[in-house]
Parts: sequence; C-alpha cells; structure tokens
Amino acid sequence: MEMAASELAGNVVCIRLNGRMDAEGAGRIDVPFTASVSAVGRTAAIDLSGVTFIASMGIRLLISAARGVRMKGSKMVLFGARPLVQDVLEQAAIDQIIPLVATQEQALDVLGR
Amino acid sequence: MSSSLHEESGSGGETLRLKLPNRFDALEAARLSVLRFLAPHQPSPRALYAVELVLEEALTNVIKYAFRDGDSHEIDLTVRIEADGIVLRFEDDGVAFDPLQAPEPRAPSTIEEAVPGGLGIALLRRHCSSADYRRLGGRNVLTVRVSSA
Repeated sequence: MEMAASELAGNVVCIRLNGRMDAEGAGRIDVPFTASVSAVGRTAAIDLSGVTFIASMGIRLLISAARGVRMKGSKMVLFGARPLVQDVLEQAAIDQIIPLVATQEQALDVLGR
Repeated sequence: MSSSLHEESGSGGETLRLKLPNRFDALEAARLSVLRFLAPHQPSPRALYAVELVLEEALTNVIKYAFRDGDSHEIDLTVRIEADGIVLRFEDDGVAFDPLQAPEPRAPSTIEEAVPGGLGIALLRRHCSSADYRRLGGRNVLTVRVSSA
C-alpha cells in the first residue's frame, strides 16, 4: 500500500492511494494518511482509483480519518473507487457518512472548489 | 523470510490444504497460495474478491480472538472447488469462538455513529452465500461458501 499527496487548487490536498487496503496495507499508511488528511484547515480529496482491494481494516482507517477531519472542521471526499471496491464501501454504508463520487472533478465540486 | 506455510493439493486439483501459523504475517502467503490454486479454474473477479475478503476477515478474527495463551498455534485452511462455488474451511484449536455471533453493526447515518466493531464479519457475510460455525472435538470450524458466479 502506498500513498502520494499533492496539492490541488484551493488548498485541497489530494491523496492518491495505491495497492491493497487490507490489514497490512492500512497499517502501513495509517499514521501518514491520518496526519495528511486531518491537518488543520485542509480539505482532502482521496483518490481510490489505485486501490485494488479494501476490507474492514481499510474502512476503519477511512472512518477514523473522517472523524479527524470532522473534528478539525474540515471536509474529506473519496473518489474514483473501482467497482468491487465501491461495492464494499457501499455495503459498509461509508457513502452515507463520507461523500463518495466518481471523479476528481466531482470531488472538487463537493469540496466547494 | 520463509513462509512457514505447509501446502498440499488434493488429486484433481480440487482441494487445497494449508497450515498456517497464527500470525498476521502469514496472511499474505496464504492469500497467494489460494490465488495460485484457484487460477486455473478462472473464477470471476467478483468471486476472487469475495475469497480474498473472506480470507482476510476470517483469518484476522481467528488470529485476534481464538488464542489466549500467547503460544504458536496452527490454523488449518482448506479450499475446495465445487461446481457452483468455492468452499473455505478454517479450523483451529483455540478457545471456543464463533465469529458469526458478533452482532451486525447498524448502518451508520453519521460519522459519530460509525462503530468499527463487527464490520469484518458483516462484510464476510455479504460476500458469501453461506457461513457455518461449529465447535467439533475442541476445535473451531468455520465453513464459508463463496458463489463462483
């Protein structure tokens, strides 16, 4: 599991995730991911297009990042999930609590940029 | 690093038996063995995803909750190909632990409500056509069937 952060217009950090968000993958990026996403005053767009697999530990990581974002008064949006990953996110009702859209453009729209 | 994974295939290539140690670092080798075993049968991407999810959630649960003595234990994993599905059987000699008993989390409507507990098994149930737990001869036996459609 790898992550790469870049800046998008409007003080949005875009975090691109690559690989398997299984227990091992989620554990590997836990600290840097949470730190990048929950930084004060940032909004975050999480690019899931490189994620080939997600299960409960990866979802826990997304939930805890979303909590951190909420506590800092920021926003986070997920985008680009592959179909089978999207299915799992919907089964866990993640789309009910974290915006989940198809493209980076839509993510920026949700973030109001 | 040696994988310490003991593997054997049944005749006709329909059954795979693995013995893995109760350590999280054994999961990846087990996953790859199962994928190699299934490959010639060309399961759909959806069925493969379900198998990987079941492996992840079932094995993680066993390793986390079935052993209380801090010792090394073995988990027996059997994968069998049937006409309409893939059957995964997880067997261990840990304390009596039925992962299917965990209550399903309610779908959260706010981030504050999102409770991480029980999510793994809830996902496992959504990805299999049946799941069965028995305690047999002092061993936990979890049998999960994934549809190959």
